[in-house]
Amino acid sequence: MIRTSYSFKLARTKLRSKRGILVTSIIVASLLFAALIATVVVFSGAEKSASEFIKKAGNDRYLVKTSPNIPYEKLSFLLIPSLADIREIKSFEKVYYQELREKYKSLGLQYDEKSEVPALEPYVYADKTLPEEQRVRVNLQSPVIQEMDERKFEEYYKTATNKLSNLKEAGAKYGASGYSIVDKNSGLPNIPGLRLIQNNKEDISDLGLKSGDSTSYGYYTNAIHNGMYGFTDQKNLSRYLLTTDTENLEGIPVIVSAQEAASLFGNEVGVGEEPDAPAEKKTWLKNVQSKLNKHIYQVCYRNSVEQALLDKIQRDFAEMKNNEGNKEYEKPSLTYNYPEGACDGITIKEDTRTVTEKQSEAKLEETQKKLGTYVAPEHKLLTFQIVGVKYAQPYLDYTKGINEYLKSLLVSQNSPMNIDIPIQMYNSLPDTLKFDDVVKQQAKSGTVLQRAFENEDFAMRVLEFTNVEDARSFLNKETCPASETDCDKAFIGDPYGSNYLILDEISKLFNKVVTIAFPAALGLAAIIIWFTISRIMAENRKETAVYRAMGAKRRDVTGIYIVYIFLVALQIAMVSVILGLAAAFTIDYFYGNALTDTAVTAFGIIDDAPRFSLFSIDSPLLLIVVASIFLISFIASIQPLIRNVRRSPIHDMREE
Amino acid sequence: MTENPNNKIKDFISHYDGDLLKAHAALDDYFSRQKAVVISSPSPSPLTNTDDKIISLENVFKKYKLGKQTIEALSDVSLSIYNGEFVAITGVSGSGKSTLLQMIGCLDKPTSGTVIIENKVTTKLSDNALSELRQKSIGFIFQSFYLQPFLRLSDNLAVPAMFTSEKKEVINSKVERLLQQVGLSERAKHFPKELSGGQIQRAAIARALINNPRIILADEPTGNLDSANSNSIIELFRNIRETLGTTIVVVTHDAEIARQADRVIVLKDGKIA
Repeated sequence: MIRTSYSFKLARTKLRSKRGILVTSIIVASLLFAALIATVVVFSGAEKSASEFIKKAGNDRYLVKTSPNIPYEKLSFLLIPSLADIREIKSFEKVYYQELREKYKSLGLQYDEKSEVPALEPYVYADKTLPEEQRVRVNLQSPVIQEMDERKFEEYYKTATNKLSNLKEAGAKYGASGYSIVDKNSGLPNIPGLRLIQNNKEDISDLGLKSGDSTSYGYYTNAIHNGMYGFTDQKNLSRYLLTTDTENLEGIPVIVSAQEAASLFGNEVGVGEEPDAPAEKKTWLKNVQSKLNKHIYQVCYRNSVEQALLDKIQRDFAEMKNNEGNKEYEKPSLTYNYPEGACDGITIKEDTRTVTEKQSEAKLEETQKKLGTYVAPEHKLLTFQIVGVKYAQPYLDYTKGINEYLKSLLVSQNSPMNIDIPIQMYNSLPDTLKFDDVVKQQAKSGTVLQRAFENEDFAMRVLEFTNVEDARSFLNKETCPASETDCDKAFIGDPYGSNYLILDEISKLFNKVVTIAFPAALGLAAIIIWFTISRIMAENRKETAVYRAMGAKRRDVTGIYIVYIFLVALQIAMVSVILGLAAAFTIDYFYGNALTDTAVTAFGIIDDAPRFSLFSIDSPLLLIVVASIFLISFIASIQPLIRNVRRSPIHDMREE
Repeated sequence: MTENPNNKIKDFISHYDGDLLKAHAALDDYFSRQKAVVISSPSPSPLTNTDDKIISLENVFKKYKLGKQTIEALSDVSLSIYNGEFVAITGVSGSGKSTLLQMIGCLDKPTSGTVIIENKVTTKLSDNALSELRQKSIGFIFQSFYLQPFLRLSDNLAVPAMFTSEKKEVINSKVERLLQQVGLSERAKHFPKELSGGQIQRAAIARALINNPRIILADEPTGNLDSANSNSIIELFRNIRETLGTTIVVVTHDAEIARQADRVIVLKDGKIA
């Protein structure tokens, strides 16, 4: 048997024959494998970097935000009710008003139910083929429906299997802990019940919610304006908190979106709007943090009666203006002044009411007091103090480019609409700064679902898991994502804080790419190598025949060609690795820093943020790719090699 | 009884105290005086020791299929070649001389008949055993030389020895000696393209000798050479045969080679004429 060193010597000479075709083949095969190597390196880097950011964002905890999955129809009626619902509502309505009449009667009053909004109202767009009885829709403002909703909720609550105790039972299977409250309705009303005071002014004409866009991002970056506040456990907010000092709090502690804070208060402290360039965002965010930390702002709470009075002032003003010069027009007997200063009270402008009118109104007030339905006009100046800022994550917005898209992948998509009030910090406030009295008046505001979530048993909670596998298993087996419309599980759950499931997504995408690209590259490379080796062996047939004439055994010839194939594979491997790493390095060079900026803002990790590198050579797959270059080279060479050594040397020499 | 040329060579070398050049000159003179008339015969010349048969073909037929046609390249060829003989095989193109050479070289097997090389019936040997026989006993010289273009001359000479797994040092010393013998020592590090036709053929002959074979088979060794180089090659063959006692079988059209051979076998239509 030929010595290996001699095989190398003879094989090396073959590398110089058919150089053109060999070099071309090596380059083409190398490009295929280089693309594969670059993919592996870039994906591994992305996975590793995402993992590092996720770990930092969650302090090595994997958080899941849950809420009970309560089907709406269990708590209220659908807007277009079924026949059974219609009959149920009608029957309840009858009893409800009967009881109310009796209650009035017992107080010596007469009740006129015609003054109430009906529970069912005609629905003009209803299917005309339906019997008239069914051509109605539910009036959610009706006290009858509200009462029925209350009772439905009480009924549901009794048998519900998605309370906190059930959640704890489900979470225990995966080692969950925490169960801290998140995004719990503060009970504060939205605008116009709550209005921001800016430059000592309260813009009474500003009545509606601002969304900016139709996503939660839009609401979140207008949450101060809209008056959207929610309670969240302090430990879920730790990475946004700029201070935890409760001794010197001068207002209700809040974590607001950096974008809105900069937009509303930036001029006062010298902070501009959010820059577009990702590289500048980190500096901007740091600036927002330092300049707006402990910043105080005020809002004015006005209850529904005061809001009604403000409406009346406006209506009266318009009415009087329209009737200027009209001698037959009678001015309203009681008119009011707009509040003089921000969050000032409403004062009477002119009172020309007759004695009878005054008596009638006094009687109405007295009746309401007896029934417990009287509400006096009220307002309160609320003071908030910024204790943290959060970078508001835009919802999946592909139009804003790759950075925004990646950011939306990196962070969880359940961005809140509420400004966060850290519960523990709020609880430490003196009563004068709290808004509990306001909340009492607002007890019945909001939708029935919102009210349900105010119940401790149904509140949204954050569960903590020690590893991504437990978090993933819990999410998969016990919850449905919020985006799923037909959920058959007891809870709705999504990753919280950061989208650590992006690791799964990266892996899935990576696997998808690799399962397609890997066999494709191998197949193509095999064809190229097969073709090249076949051509080179054909080219060297006479030489092989000469070797055989000189006494080379078939295994000697095989040995020489195996070494030759090894040398070819080695060249492909070397070129592939060099090109692949160079490509990955280039991708990392051009995108790594931008992604780091993106990840920094996405995860809110500003200090000690690692670099989001797209270059990692840790993956064992890299070795597999390199090994497969050798393997596929040998596999592709088997057929031409067997054919070559089986040939008669004399046949090849005769071709001379 | 004819004198064994091997014994004669040994006598001459010993007479000249190992001085090969002098021994060579004396031998040259001796053999030129002893040269028999060239005849076409499967039988040995009268000078040959017929007890020392090295190659033997008995009723060898070789048929090829060419489409539907069967071509008889060799037809009932029987011959014997003896140790130390210098035999030329001649004949017109297509007469079967190259096929005969390949049979002797164990590169091809007869359709029927027996080929015996060094007392081994080649038809009964495995592919490996045939390779081994070629490796140890036969040296080939091809018309196209087949030197590896990307190997230096010294490495080219070493190729047949590489298949014997001999140590590098042993191979190197053999190569050095052979290069010296064929007068190419100074060309050891050159590539074939840097050599003349004559030098290349001499290198090819040296390569055939690297494993000390008992038989040299040469296919038109002077076919690509001018007359000066051809003479030099013939001289080299004679030298080898005379100094080493190697059996030389040459397929040739070259009348000068045929004239210098101990015996000429003429083939016609696959038969010995």
